Amino acid sequence: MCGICGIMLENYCCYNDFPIGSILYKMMESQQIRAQDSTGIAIFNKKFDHEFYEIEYFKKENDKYNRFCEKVYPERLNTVLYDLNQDPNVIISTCAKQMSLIKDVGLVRDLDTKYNIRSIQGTHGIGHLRIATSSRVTPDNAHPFSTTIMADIAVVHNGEIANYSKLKSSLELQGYHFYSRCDSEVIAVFIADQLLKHNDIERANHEFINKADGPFTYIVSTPNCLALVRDRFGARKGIFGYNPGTRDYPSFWAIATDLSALDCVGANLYVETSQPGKPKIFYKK
Amino acid sequence: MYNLDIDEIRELANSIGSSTSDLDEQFERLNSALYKKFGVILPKGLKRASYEKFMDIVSSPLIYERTVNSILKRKIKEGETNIKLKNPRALYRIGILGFREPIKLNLMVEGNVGNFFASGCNFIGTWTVHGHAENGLADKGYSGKIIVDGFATELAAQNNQATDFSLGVDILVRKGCMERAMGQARGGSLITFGAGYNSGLYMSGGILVNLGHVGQSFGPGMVGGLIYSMNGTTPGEGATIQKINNLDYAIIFQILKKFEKELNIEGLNSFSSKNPILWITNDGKMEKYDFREYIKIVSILDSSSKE
Repeated sequence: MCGICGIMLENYCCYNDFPIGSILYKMMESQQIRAQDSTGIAIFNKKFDHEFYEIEYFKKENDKYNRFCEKVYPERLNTVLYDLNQDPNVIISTCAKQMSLIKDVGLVRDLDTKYNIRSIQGTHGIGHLRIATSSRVTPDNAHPFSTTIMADIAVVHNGEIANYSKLKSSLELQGYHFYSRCDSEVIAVFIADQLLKHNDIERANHEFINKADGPFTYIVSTPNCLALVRDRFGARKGIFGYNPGTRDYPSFWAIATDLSALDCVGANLYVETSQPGKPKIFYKK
Repeated sequence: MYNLDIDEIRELANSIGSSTSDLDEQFERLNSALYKKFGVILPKGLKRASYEKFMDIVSSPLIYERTVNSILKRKIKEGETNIKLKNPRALYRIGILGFREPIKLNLMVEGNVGNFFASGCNFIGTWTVHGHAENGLADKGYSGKIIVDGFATELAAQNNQATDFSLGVDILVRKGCMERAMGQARGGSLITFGAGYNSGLYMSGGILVNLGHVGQSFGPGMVGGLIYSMNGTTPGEGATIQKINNLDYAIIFQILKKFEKELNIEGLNSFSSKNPILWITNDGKMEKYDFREYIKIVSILDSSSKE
């Protein structure tokens, strides 16, 4: 019973400095009853777009997970990733240019105390509250999941990918590296693989719906869009609504598991569930 | 009318939380404050559950859920029959009271309720939610009348019970049920202004009248019960679509009659296949409903046994 949420600001040009972390925080806090094991967010902001990649990873030392960040220029990216992948204690969590991804064990208020997530500015973002089912409660198994095969992609997921091992094996055969034992990571790698092949977010998600078994709802976030995706039977919730904003407050689309999360941020217009098996995509305008 | 503002409980807990960080002491002090103010005592197991889930006592929703239900229970035992709850802020499990016999209670909730509102309810009266309801509204409900002004997300009226001593809960959802309404229902009735995907999933009894938007795939795995809707599709197996007949008009009449006042229905007393048009007011808007355009969804088992 994980909780997921997402925000896509409209007219982002006018509100590039808007702290959407504060909206995500509210939505996550209102859904905290669903899950308490770990928490994470990914927020996108073009202002973060540097010439270098930011690679964040956890290093496991005596059962402790220490967080590290390296700035890497494109020409060194493959070498650095290769070196990090050689270390069995390194778990890469992000490879990003425009994305700030933070995750840890604990509640959303703990994440905010540690990383001040409420102040993070951006145009869109996703959040996750995890209750562990398929893997241990450790920072590397927390959501959002990203991948090193493509920068700036993040996925939060509620549910279960029943044929996770099969999908993971087929992606590993293509040479992709997995860093966690959580079934949700396979979504990020699968979508990234599809985007590298076709660069079409809708097609990538349709492919996943066709290939994956089990009950799932996930939000995938890229620099240009958020996509809310549910399995063909709609076995897990995924609701969205719209806040029209005011003169001084941006309008935005909000996505959540619980309706109360939309209500608490005023996204009460055009409330709908996403159609099972049909990705609902919110593009950055 | 007894008024309970749940924010008062939150304030009480927060003031204790700001004066001591010791969890045992927080729990003891909270318990004594709740006893003094509301006459209720929380079980000790809740301390551990709150700590394990939320690493805290005073901000744990489990504490608030249990406190609210304990206060409701106490007030009902004292003979109160009208209660108003304010600021539920989507708390889960409000109204799980566990009385063996039906209780008399009119409950009004100002705000959104979380999962499993009125779960296992068995009451005489009306419970009204001026807000949304999340999953499992009146799950395993035995009897009562519930009105939700907003949406009910998933599984509204699921597992509703028709037993030797109950017929299930009668529910009106004004904005619509998002998905799997009346899933696994064995009784009860639901009038909704929108029924999403897979409504009537594994339904074996009860009646769903959908007066609004229509999702797809009504009644997967349905073995009983009835669904009335403007249109709709059914899955390959389980349910089938039929035209409505004279008997159906009588059934729809009985269901709508339960909420005649709340929906300000015009033409209900002469409602039949000869007078199939009703004017129904919902959400401040009066609309015409011509039931000749409606279909009935029944289990394939029911339809084949009749043939």
